[in-house]
Amino acid sequence: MFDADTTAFLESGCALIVGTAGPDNEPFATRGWGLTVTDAESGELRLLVASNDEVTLERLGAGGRIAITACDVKSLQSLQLKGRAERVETAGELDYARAERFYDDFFGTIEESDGTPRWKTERMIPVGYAACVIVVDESYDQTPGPGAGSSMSGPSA
Amino acid sequence: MTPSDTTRTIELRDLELCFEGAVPAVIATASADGTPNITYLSVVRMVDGEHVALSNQFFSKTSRNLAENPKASVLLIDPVTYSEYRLMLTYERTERRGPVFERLRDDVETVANMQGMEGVFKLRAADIYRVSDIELVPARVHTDPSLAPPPVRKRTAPSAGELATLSTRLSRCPDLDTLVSATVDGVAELLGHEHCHLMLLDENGQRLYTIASHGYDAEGIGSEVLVGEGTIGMAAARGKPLRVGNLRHMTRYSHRVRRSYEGSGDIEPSYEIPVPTLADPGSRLAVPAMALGQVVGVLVVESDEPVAFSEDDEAVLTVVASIVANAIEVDRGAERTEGADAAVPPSAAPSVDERAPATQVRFFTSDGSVFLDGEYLIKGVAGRILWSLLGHHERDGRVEFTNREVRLDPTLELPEFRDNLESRLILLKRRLDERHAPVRIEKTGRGRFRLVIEGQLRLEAVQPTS
Repeated sequence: MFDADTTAFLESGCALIVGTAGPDNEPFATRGWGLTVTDAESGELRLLVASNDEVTLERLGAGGRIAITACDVKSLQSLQLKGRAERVETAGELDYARAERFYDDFFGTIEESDGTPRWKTERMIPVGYAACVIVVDESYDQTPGPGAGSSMSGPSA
Repeated sequence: MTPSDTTRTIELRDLELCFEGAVPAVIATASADGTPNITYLSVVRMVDGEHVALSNQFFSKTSRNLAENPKASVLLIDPVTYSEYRLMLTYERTERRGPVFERLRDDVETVANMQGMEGVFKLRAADIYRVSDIELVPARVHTDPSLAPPPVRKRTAPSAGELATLSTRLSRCPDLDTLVSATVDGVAELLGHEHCHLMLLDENGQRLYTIASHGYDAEGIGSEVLVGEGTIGMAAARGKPLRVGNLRHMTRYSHRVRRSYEGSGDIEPSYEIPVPTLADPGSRLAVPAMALGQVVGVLVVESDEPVAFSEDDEAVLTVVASIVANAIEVDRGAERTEGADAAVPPSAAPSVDERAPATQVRFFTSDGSVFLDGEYLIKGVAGRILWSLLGHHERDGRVEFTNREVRLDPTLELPEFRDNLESRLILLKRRLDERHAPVRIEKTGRGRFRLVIEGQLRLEAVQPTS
């Protein structure tokens, strides 16, 4: 599912935005706080979300569908992944370290490219994290331009 | 946002700064089968206390989802506090004309124009959504504010008193030269916009040229932009203010494109004067100066900060620009009337220091550009005026001139109506002063001026080679 370049991109400090849908198809937007590809072959990854994001965690805990868009802040290269949640777990020490590394890279890139000081972006850091195990089954090139939405593994987005 | 804010009801109007586009918004939708989609949005604008408008240009999957399921969830970030808000939306209607559509179209075209992609970025429609819920996304700082310093408070808009003081100053200016200086200095001193410049529309209504600036390393007098190009040119073309709060991202992109073209050799190095601008501006507000329904120029302010300018700033500067535009039109009218009566004064004997080194003045007939000892000075109408004056000086030793005789000089090809001569003379005067040129212009009365020449000049006209 993911080659080495895609894995490196997903695990970099790119912006992570996350969408879920409830039983009534009500969409819900949130942010991801770090992503690790745990099995590139099957498309399994571990996504960190805010531990107090009850809506997202409830939906993913019930095995709901998920969309994740990763976007490089400088180049605007974007990739949208779609899949299903396997389970939600309490974040451990490694997850917290992963989140810290993520927002260090993410906020650092924003500061470098847009001049937004760290003290501002750090105001977005959530109170804690929960880990969601996701299996991706579709991916789309979401980079702005004529090719946006083209499928990299499934039907056109 | 303080901890107590997390519990109070949030109104759409509280999110004013979120709609300036400084931080990209996020939208989640879901298809009929429950598959979510998440992407970034170009523009979100508040319509009223209960509705927002989203730009619909090419987010196709989002559009298809909304056709099946009218619900959406949007994330917005306040660019000052970095507080994040989640809005739950329900699609209500699509507008393809009217003020909301026009506002979004302006936003989209501004981005497109800066990136040279006018043909690609076109707003198809403005989708109007009812906001059913607004939630502050809880963050660590909301439970423990000591973890991050408080956000910087936004600069307050100028008071009516400050505006009145500036108006009084402008109304007391005796001539255009004083007026344009008083404008940029007053905007900085009284309104708090430290970086500003005033551009005037040229005789053909196609270009704007800088006549005064404040707060920049280089004054940029004589620098030009095309009407319709960039934020300043678009403000003139539309006759409406244009406020950009996310300039840093947009400018970075366009500079990168420009550099890549220069690197490929497709764009030749230019001798044009750079328009005054900050090294890395965060915000720009360009306000057209209008008189009698016509654009006379554009007043521009900039800031290092993103989303630095509010609707109040826009309103105040619109008043100032209007005062300036009307004063300029009055001055032009008076100058033409009084100048017509001014007789050609007797020429004073030129006072030239024979021992001073000669300065080479090269004039390119093709575009009216003038170079002093190889350094670019000015081009166009102002360049032709200088060349004409220096020709009179070389042939007849004249230094005293009237606007009337310059206006009648057929080599300048000035339009009979709206020749902007006084503005061009001021531009030339300021440019000569800025370059510490061995030629200066001194006003000797309304419609009259004197050339002050230090040292000898060697004039050379360069004709086109083909």
